[in-house]
Amino acid sequence: MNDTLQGIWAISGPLFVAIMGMVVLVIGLGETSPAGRRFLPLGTILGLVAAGILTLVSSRGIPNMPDVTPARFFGQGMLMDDVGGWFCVTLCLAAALTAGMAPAYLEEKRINNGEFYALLLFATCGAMLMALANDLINVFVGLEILSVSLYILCGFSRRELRSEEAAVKYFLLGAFASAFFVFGSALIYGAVGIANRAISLQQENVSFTNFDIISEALQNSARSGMPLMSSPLFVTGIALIVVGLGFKASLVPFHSYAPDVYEGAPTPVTAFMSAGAKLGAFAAFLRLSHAFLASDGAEPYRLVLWTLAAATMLVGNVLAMRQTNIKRMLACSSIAHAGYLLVGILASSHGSASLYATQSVLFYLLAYTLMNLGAFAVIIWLGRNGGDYLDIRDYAGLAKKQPLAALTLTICLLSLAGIPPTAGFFGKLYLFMAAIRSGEVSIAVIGLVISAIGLFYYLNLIMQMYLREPHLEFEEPREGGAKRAAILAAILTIILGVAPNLLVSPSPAGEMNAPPPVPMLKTRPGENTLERGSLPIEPNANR
Amino acid sequence: MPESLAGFLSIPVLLFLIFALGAVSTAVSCVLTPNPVRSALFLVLNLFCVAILYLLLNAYFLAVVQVIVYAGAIMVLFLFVIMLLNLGSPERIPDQMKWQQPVAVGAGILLAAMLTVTIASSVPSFAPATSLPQTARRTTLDAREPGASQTMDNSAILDDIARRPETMGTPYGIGKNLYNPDKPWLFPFEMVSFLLLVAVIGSVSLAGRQTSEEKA
Repeated sequence: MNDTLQGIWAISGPLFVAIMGMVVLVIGLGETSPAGRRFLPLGTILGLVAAGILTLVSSRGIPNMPDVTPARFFGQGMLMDDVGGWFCVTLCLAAALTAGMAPAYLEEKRINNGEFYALLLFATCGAMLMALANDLINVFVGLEILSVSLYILCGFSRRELRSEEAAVKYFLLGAFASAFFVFGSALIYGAVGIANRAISLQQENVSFTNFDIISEALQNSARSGMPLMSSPLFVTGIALIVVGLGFKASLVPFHSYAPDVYEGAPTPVTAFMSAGAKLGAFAAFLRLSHAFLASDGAEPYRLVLWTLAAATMLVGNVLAMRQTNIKRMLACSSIAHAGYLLVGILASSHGSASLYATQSVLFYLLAYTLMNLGAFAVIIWLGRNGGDYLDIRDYAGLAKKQPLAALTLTICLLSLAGIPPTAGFFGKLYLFMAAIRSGEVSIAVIGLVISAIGLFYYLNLIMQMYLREPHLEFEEPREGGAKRAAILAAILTIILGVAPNLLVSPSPAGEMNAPPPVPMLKTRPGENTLERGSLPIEPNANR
Repeated sequence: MPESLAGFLSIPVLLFLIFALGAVSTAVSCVLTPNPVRSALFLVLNLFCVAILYLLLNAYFLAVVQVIVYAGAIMVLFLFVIMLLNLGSPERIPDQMKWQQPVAVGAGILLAAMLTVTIASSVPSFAPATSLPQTARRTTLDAREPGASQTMDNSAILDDIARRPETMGTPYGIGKNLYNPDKPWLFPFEMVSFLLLVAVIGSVSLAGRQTSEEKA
């Protein structure tokens, strides 16, 4: 019983978010007056702030129980460490910014219902569960909570054909991708179970999709001469899981839905989806890569990641150049950013730079969340009753009509492009440094060249805003929460860009002498992973 | 050789082959039939076949639940909805990308073939251990190529399977595992309730009636 309570305390962040979701849902159903509805986003934001604080507190260990090291809970299925805590706080930030920018937009579309905020909170909870999961089954449940909420949110503006189309497209393809993930998990369960067969039938309570057990099986099987990576069952399972997660992260061969869905979904939903779904998927990718850390023979896995990263960066940027709709352009740019993040994931599967690479991925995800949500918030801010300005040509001369909005959008775009005084610059720097440190120099060079190509479309939009003559008046912008959210995101982007060491960041030069700011559990192989009663695989079991 | 073939074609294996083939063919028919009612009925047949495959795996409880919940309750609901919406055969929408269909079918068959080969090459033996007499078991094992027996040690696995707990697949065994807080299954089981809640909210908010505010 005590263990259960500890577990509930450890993951109190996501649980609190889910409870807030139910509270908001009930209040939203009872409150029909528009004045009462205004309270909903406020309550959502307050709940998310509280959940973020709870996560920060609970990831620092369990009060009055100092002997409990960053531990596994719920039958080893969940874990709470600083990586997971970082993901959870970033997710809370993303959801809070979304809730801040949404109300005016939703009221105009007359869909300002409590369900919107409840689903937003449930989606956040699902992504947080993915970030804290230590077992593929929990990753899957989190993934489904996140995905189903997002399918519904995409179609939330149900009188618009585009929104419906986005929801149906996302749902059909997403359900297919989830099936790949489940099938992959089943194959991995079988493969790891065969590798661990000495204990598989005597100890019933072992889950072979647990990341620790996969990691141990990879190490032990390599030692006993039958490496798991040469088992076709295991390799197929990993490949299917990469497909399932790659869809959520919109990596390249699985990206085709992204422009249509991002364009059709209500703009606040697009903003959240671009950050939330990626955060969840990359959290799972990171845990999966860490499972490969301590073992040899992960080359096939790295080759797949290398290819996906190169293709994603290239195709994302090339597609983005051809777009004339700003939502589609940001969708394609978010594909490209998934490619940059995958470079960090690839580096984190190398023991030599794993900690550095993990921190760089965490930093980049925070920076990406801020700059991308900031850009979407500006789109909402400028829109007025009847529609948003979505054509890139509409933004001509924005600086003369709405200088503050133009400045905010410029900061976000410069950060997305990776120009120095912004968070995006340091994010990219850390990611590519991590790749070079881990020996993946080729992908770092490719990434640098491609991100230089990517400058083109961001700078094109900035030039439109500052150098062209305006042909639109931008009367009656929505302002309100969207304005505040955009300015907040832009300011945070600049702060992270000026002082990246303020929160957390990998030291860019030399070896890390100081204790790392994010002590990570799984990145130091052999330190913590074996404490919980390792699973001995008898070498003479294979007579 | 004939002896090993006889060992291979034991009754459980025959049953497996029949119902596996049934599951695949009904699944394919379910997708290919244009009539939604027939499609749903093929799905019922498919769920039955899968339930019998569960039985062959000693998962008695799962098989019964599969029939009662899926083939029974859920499929009745499916049929009700189809009848309620009064769906006929759908009209053919002009296909914008005709080249897509053969490519998709080809790629799907390729994927299925690759998965089949992968799994077949990894699974130690098709014959269920408990069903075979000792001699037949040995023969089946000896008949395998040396390459396959290198990666899998069959006799060890078969011995392990024989040591499987008696309660496996019974409601007692499932309950003891599923609801034990020390085991990894309770937490995802509880979290699925959030998933169902989200699905309910979704169906109400996407298909529900318009609120007074929306009408205004």
